[in-house]
Amino acid sequence: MEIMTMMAGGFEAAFTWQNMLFICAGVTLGIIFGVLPGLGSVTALAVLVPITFYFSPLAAIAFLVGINKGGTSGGAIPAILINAPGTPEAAATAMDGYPLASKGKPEKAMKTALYSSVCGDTFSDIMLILLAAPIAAIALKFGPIEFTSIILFSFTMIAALAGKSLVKGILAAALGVFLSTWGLDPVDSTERMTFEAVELFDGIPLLPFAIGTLALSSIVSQLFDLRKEKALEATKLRSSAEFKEENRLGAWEFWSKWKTLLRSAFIGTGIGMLPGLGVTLAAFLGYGAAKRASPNGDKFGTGELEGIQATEAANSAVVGSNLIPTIALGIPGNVAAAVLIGAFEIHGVVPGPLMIREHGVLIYSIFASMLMANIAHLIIGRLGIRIWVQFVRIPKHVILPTVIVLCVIGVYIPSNSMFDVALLFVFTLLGFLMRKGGFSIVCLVIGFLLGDDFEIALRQAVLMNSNDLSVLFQSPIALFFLALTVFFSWHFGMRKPKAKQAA
Amino acid sequence: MRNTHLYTGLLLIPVCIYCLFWFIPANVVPPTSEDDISPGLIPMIAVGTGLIMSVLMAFHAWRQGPPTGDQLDDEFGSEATGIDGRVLLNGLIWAVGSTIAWYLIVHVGFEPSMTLLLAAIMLYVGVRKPLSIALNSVLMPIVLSQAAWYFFTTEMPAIWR
Repeated sequence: MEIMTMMAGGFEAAFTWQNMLFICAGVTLGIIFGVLPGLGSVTALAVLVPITFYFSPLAAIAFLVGINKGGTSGGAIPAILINAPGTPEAAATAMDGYPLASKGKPEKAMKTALYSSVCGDTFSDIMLILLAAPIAAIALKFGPIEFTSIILFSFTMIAALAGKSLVKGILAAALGVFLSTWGLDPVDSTERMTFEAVELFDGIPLLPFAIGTLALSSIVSQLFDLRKEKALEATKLRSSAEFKEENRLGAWEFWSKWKTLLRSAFIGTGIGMLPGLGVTLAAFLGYGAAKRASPNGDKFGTGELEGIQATEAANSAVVGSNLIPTIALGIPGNVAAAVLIGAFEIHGVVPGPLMIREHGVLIYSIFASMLMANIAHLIIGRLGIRIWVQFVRIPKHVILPTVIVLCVIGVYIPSNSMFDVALLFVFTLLGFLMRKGGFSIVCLVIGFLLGDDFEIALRQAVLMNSNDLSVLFQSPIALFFLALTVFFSWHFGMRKPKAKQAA
Repeated sequence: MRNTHLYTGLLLIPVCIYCLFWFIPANVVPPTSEDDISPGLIPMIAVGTGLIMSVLMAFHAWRQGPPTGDQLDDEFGSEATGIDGRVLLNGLIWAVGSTIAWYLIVHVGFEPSMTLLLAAIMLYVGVRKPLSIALNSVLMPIVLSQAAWYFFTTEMPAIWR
């Protein structure tokens, strides 16, 4: 009953013109960032989080959720038009999208991608609304001992699944945890690695860390690669005007493959719920499953609509479900959810099982906003199809340097501190070297975000049990997760490097 | 990538040992309560884990034979080329360039320093169209700085303000 009241209150709070405006702005910016070469939803989230300081918590999260949704599907547009995926997950979309566009049906491919994306996303959001509260209710029974073991398990799982090497994943997560401990100690408030710099008393600020490692390092890396490639010509696009009739997408033509949509939505939702598994994996798994199940499987890769439907429904279904562990346990499902956790914390909302109890109306407002964002995404995406195409034409050498200025402004505005700008540049260098060395930045960021929670949970557990670390082995739930941690470490530590196709 | 693993591991081992035995103890105070664990414990665990992983990474890379054709990285794809001399040089260029940009922002101002930075980057990546360079590098910092002021009432640093 309490949940129904919160749900009603949340939906009522979300249905305002102001909120709708922020959602539309978020979706539009998300699509633009997704379309622009070299950017993507994670860069968009990282760069635009600072401006949400000035929004209400609901408007801020609704705006960011809109960006995430728009950015995930926006990447499909350059994948379809020029075989250059705007985001890694859109690489699977290019396999059928680009051949279809080459046949003179780019609009049909883009419409299919958009509608499939909205379907997958809506399915995933409904699962989030249905599952987040029950999982959070179970998690409320957990104490610090259980949380310590769950976070340890999450570290292992993220490290194992985020990259090819468990050792490198754990190394990156350990660095993230170490950096999270700088600043005042959360229990005693004594100084730790502050070097008597007042700016470090609150710890390393999240924004320069996240923007530097996630967004700016990617931009810098691409700029150096751009110099190597010297591919500075503006992109030439195919026109669909001469094939107007062939670019129509009938309702039956789209819905006749509802099984593919549903299967991919299930795959994406399942993957989104597990920490560490990314959108890209969902897209390729969805594509592979559809290819095996479809009677036209042998035609995949030649411009099959079903291929586009499978990948887009799967990758967009991750967006909603990765908030299930975020909201229920405070553990981000992927890097976009990690940035959203940062945004929640900036607005005084601590993700975790208490979140629904303490901020129930806000959480259900966010859920309602996510559903509204799907409608906005459908309308804006459809109306703007011919406009988004124009963004693909903007060359990288114009976009990428401009984002550097955006990053500097984004870090400076909330803090008014050049110290934070210096940190931004330092973490950009760290992120750049990690990218080139293949060290997982997802693990680094999630280690940084969860490091504090891990420390507080562990120290609370120890304080409650007179400095006895063996308490970790006394709770059956903690033991279960510790056993899983050992199993995952053994399983992924022992595995042989998997073959991965360059395509 | 084998050399990257080997050299990164070998570099990180002394760094971790230094952190474990000097850096963390020197920068953390002892616990205030007898029941509490030391505030240095979590940083020690993190760095200790890093040390073990560095040893494992270096050892594994050392035992691994010569490269048999690299596979694409799961997270970064072809971007993860390994850290070689060129990457280190690029890192150095970024370190020097960003330090100069930071210094100029503090001591001159946001707009001129960002104009210089953008123009330098565009020239560096190979753009040779003066109009394109001028428009982007001059207009963009001014527009964004004005946006910061009008939307967020934040003045970007400048000696004339």
